[in-house]
Amino acid sequence: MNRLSAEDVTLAYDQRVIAEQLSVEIPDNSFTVIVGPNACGKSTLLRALSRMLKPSRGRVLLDGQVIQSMPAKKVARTLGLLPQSSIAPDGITVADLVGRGRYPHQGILRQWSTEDERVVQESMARTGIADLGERHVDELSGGQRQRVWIAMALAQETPLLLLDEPSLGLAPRMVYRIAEVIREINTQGTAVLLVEQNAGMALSLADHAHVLEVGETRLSGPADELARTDAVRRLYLGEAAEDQGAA
Amino acid sequence: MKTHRAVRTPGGLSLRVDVRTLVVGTLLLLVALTASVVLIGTGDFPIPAADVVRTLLGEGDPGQEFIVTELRLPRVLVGLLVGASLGLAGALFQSISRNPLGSPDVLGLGQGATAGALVVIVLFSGTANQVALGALVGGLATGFAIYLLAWKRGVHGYRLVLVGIGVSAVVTAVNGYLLTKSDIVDAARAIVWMTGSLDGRDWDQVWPLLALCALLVPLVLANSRGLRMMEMGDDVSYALGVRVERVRLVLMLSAVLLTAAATAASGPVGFVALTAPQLARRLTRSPGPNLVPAMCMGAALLVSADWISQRAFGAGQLPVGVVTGVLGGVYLLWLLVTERRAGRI
Repeated sequence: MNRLSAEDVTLAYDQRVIAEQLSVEIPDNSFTVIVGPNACGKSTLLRALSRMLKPSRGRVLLDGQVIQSMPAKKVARTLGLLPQSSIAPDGITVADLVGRGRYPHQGILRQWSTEDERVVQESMARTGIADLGERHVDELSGGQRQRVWIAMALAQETPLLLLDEPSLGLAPRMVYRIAEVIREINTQGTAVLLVEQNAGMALSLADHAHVLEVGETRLSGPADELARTDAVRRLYLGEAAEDQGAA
Repeated sequence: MKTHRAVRTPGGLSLRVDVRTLVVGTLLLLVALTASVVLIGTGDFPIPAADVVRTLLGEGDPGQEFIVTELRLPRVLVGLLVGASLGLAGALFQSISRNPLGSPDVLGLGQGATAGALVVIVLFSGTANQVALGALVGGLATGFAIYLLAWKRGVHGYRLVLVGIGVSAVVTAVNGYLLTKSDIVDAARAIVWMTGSLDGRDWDQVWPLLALCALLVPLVLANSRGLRMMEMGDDVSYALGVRVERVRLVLMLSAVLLTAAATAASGPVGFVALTAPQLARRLTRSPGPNLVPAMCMGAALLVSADWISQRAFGAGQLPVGVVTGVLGGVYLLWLLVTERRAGRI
């Protein structure tokens, strides 16, 4: 069953159209990637899927309902998102930041339950930062910090997780760690949608892929098949066309 | 260091308490109240602190009672309320703009309220209450203008600060123009008002401010959890289910109202809104908007400053706004220098 889908959406900021007639489906437990060059509209598509941008045409459905019509906290308990623009507040500790992911499960009279505590510990363990809990986020390395943010999104305990280029700006070794973490999250039963510029990493992880070209879907299909296509290899995997014969 | 503790009941209720923040808040409140008692006892007719407390509890002699409840208590209450309002408004604006400079003084809300008051003083020679109303309207109009000018698919930190500084410059120019157009009597009155003073404040200033605080403080605190999330950026808080624009609008409106009402009651008292949240934050060492500590710090700062001004220069000699400017500015500089030595900034 499709948990989240975009149906023929046209995305625009004010009058400027970014992408037209895109369709994406995220089934339960799936791992989908959206790859494409800079400014092709992949982050914009993610904003629409997470209801931060209302499509000017078409609609986004979460569990069969139009996402804009759902209560904010209910969406936040179903759909987790790790955006690119996250700011760690001054002097915050890792455990405290991860704990903020519990917000959609809390209220004025239910501020910090034993369940919250358990999920935070578990999320930190799953991202390999369990021993960093009392450290300040500003003194961590880029790779550690990114895992803290992923842990925060995990603490939200959503069956769906959207990630916007989590490997951006990280050293190759760190990219590998992050990829491992994300793969593990998916194996444990969370549907993942990953937006990536790093097509090599993305296609090796996912079971379904969409390749975007400025404003339109160029190709869609199973990730391993797309990784073998000529165009994808040439454009995104950095291989020369002649190599195809040898492969 | 992990300082927060959870308080839980069998029914599934749970409260999260930051121990250090609680201690700091309580101590600041004690400082504010102690300073208030001492301030009530200070003046041409000194009253020992014990007698002040006894009188406040309704057991003093009639002579002291008149001086305490009719003359000095309202003045001190205005001081406490103005300080608390400015501290809270400052913490709100700094958190919303994610910038320590994004406080009402810098954004021009104080200047806007001043413009409103000057219009009433200079053009209409209005009464004290009309001046207060003018200040309130001026502050609200300025807040509204800043919000509209900074709006572009939502209001964001830097744009808010920059637009605020621009608006502030324009309004300051208008204020200068109004002063040059005024005759000497109005100008003298305007200058006194513009420094920010608690002199001659009575129950007429206490009630409206108290009513507004009783309404806005619970509203603000109810939205403070969302504000705490918004520190991590609009996208993250949106993903966590915070209705970002709504929370921001409610809190900005509250902060503008608090600033405008505080300015209407005492004139623009400088630096409290800028320094109180920063000082409180350094004491609690807790991330987050630190709204309640900032409120207590504002109240403590203002009442202490008023006491210093009365002790050092005599009653009615030096407006409190001058002292808060010097005191707050020096303390903030000292903190910044020590923090830089410690390598934290």
